Formats: sequence, C-alpha cells, structure tokens
Amino acid sequence: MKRFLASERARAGALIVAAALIAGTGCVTAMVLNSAAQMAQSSQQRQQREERLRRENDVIRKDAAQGQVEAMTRLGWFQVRGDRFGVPGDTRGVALLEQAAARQYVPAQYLLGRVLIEGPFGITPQPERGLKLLTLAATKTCTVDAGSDYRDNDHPARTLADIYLKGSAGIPADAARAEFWMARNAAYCHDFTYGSFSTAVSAGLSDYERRAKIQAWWELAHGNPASGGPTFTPEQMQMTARELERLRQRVRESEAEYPAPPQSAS
Amino acid sequence: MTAPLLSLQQAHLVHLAFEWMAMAIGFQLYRRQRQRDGGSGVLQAGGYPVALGCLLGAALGNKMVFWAEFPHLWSTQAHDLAIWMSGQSIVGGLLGGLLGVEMAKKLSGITASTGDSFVLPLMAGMAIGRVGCFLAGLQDGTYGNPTTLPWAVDFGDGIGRHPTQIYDIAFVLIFGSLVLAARPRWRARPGLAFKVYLSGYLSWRLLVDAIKPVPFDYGGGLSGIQVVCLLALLCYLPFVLKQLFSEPMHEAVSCQ
Repeated sequence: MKRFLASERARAGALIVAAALIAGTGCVTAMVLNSAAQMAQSSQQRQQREERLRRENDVIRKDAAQGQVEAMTRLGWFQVRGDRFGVPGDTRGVALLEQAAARQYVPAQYLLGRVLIEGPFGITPQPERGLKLLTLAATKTCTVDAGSDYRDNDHPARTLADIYLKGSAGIPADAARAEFWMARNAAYCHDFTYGSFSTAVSAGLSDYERRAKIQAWWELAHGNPASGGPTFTPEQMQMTARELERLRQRVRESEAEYPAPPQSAS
Repeated sequence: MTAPLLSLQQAHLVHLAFEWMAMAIGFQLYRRQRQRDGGSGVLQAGGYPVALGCLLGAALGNKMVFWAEFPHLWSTQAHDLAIWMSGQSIVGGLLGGLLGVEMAKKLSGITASTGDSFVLPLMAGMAIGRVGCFLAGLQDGTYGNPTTLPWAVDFGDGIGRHPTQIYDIAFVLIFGSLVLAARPRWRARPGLAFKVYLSGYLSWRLLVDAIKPVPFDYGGGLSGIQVVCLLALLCYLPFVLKQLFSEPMHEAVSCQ
C-alpha cells in the first residue's frame, strides 16, 4: 500500500475517491441502487403475480372441466372478455355460460343475459333471450355478488330497469317496464339511489311534485322517510302516500307472473 | 418568494454538481492557503496525510451524524444499502474531518498546526454547497419551518419557509470573514482561527436548527445534529478558550 501511494498520481486518485465519498456520490449511487432494486422488486412482483394467475387459471380450467358451475361461469366470463384467457369475444366462453345457466346457476344466467343483450366483442346479440335470462335472474336473486370477477353487487332487477329506461339494440325504451322493474328492485332488494332513474320518473314535474314522488320511491326501498325528514306540506304527504301505495300495488300484482326473489338472496 | 422547482432527479443532479464544485474550489483554496502558509504540497509527505485524513474522516462523520439525525430509520431500513450510503451532514463532515486530520497527523508524526489553512476553503465550500441545497428545495431536507416573514421561500408546496440554507451561507461568509480578519492577530496562536471558526459554526447550527423540522426528537425538541453540536462544543470549547486566553506560543503546536 505504501509503495502504491508513493506516487503522486496514486495519491491524487486516493484523494478523489475519498472526496467522492463525501460529495454526493453516495446519493447518486444510492439512487442508482435504489432504482435497480425497485426494478428488480417490480419484476419479481410481476413474475409472482403471473405465476399466481397461472395457477389460478389452471385451477379454474380444471374445475370447469369437472363441471363445477362456478368455475364454468368464471372461465366463460373471462373468455368472453378476453381476460387472462385468449381474445375477447371467444364464443367458447358463451358456450360455458350457456352450460352453467342451463344448470340454473343464477350468476351464469345473469351474465349470459347481459352478453346476449349487449353483444360485446362481436358476439351475436340475442336481445329477446337475454331479457328472458335477466328476468329469470331477477326473480331468483337481488344481487349477483361474485367479487371482482364480475361487476360488484350487480342487481338484476336494476339492470333490467336501466335497459328499459335507455333502450338497447333490439329492445326499445319502455318507461313503464323500467318503472316496473325498479319498483321490484326497491321493494324486494331495498335498493334505490338518486340517479338517472329518479331523474327520468320525475321529468316534467314541478319541484313540489318531484319531491313527493321521489320520497315515495325512497320509502318503498327503505321503509322510512329519508334522513332528516322532508318538510312536506300535508298535500305533499298525501301525494307521497298515494304514489307509494300505487307502487306497492304494482309490485304485489307482479308476483303472480314474477315471483319475489328470496329475501336472503339480497 | 418561490424557489426553482426541480424534480427529484434534477434536484439530485444539481445538488451533486454544487457539491463537487464546492469540493473542487475548496481544495484549490486549501492548496493555495498551504502554499501561502509555507506548508508542503498537498500530495507531498507533509500535506498528503492531512488531506486524506480530513476527507476520509469527513466522509465517515458525514454519514454518522446523518444516522444520528434519523435513528428511527434503522429499525425499518437497516437492510437498505441506499440508506447507508445516502444522507450527509456538514456538522458531521467538519467533526469527522477534524478527527481524521488529528489521527492522520498522529500516525504520520506531523506536529505542526494545520487547521488555519482550512478556514477559507471551508467558508467557500460550505457557501457553494448550500446553494445546491437551496436549489434542491424540498428534496434536500435542509429547509426551515414555515414562517410568515417577508423573505419566506415557497419550495413548491405552497408553504413559505425559512430559507435556512441562505442563513447558513450568510453566517459562514460573515463569521468566516471576521475570523480571517482576526487571523493575523492570532499568528502567535496557530490553529486558533480554525478552532474559533468551528466552534462558531457549531454554535450557529445549535441555534438555527431550532427553526428547522426535527426528524427525531432527542428530548427538549433537540434534533440529532443539535445534540452532536452540543456535545462537540462541550468537548471542544475548553480547548478554544484555553488557547484564546493563554499566553501566545512562539513555536508550532500540535493542537488544531
């Protein structure tokens, strides 16, 4: 070491290295190391995620092949969307959903119904059949809650109301049917929120009448006045009561044709 | 007033550029000071150990005081090499450099006083380095607490803060100039200029860090750097006062 540091060049080099330990090289080195470590970590996390998905996919395929309806539905839905398996619009996915729906599995009926109405990714729409499936699902359950694989907490009855409200390819808009399904959704599933439906049903009304009408929908769904209690005039209260009774009557009359979904299914 | 807004990467590069500029200019000034004071060249036997000891000591002291400032990082980040290698502290650099020089002199048998030649280079280097700290803004961690004073600086988060980097620059230039002006009068007290400069700076940091955010409170609102300054002053001030008030010596002494 002494011989090495005997030359002025070596000494100058040693001083520069020592200075580099002070003058921020530590920060730059740390930055580089940090970036490299982060990249390695991201890559490792990505590989772990891909491995996990691959294992999950294998399990789904195996379970679907063994005829488990939940796995068939999940695999079918992924194949239709092109998620994880192949390309979107894969008709094998539709076939799987058909098989699961035929075995009266409600999430499959619901999803197949949506696919046949919306006709996504080039799948041939069959709106009439799609409506039948959605209607069937709406008499069997309030929500299709299958986690992040599907849209969370979809309400078949509300979905039908939306379809009739806006119309869809092959399904003309029908305000009366929209109201019908939304009333069932509110009465059986206790689901009503202010949005496009409430705007639609109160279109053309004065603010005075609109509040009374929406109040009736709220009480139909939640069984109690909206929080805070509206400051209604006696006339408004009567309007609300009449509207509420009308809606309840309509729901009761519908039960002959469309059974109420089980309460535990909501 | 709004400081220039730099991204993390830009802040690192600007800080780095100013650090190297400070080191380079400081080093050149040190070489000239040594020549003026009749010392040997920096790469020669009488000067090289001092320079190397100073730099290595400063590098170690730098990191150690930074670690003292953030002791809570160790429980969660001790495995992270980036934490070990990053972070700096001028106080740590000064104290580490002092100890490094003393050890190097001991090991190489140098007894002459060497500290006074460091005053001007330290002044210049610290002032230039702090410009880089100021420009690095919020990425650097050397800014002060929020304030409503007219010269508060917004470093990019909408909050006006004490520009403590500017305060530092003003202090080292003003105080350092006073020490340099007094140096001819202390010719018979070699090393005293450096001692006064270092003590003055440690006292300054003990005070000014009270208007900076405290990453870890050691008690009484004191940060790690303030505790180090306090301990260093307790150890060092007696030497300073002793030399200041003792009879001037006419031969070279080994103390800094």
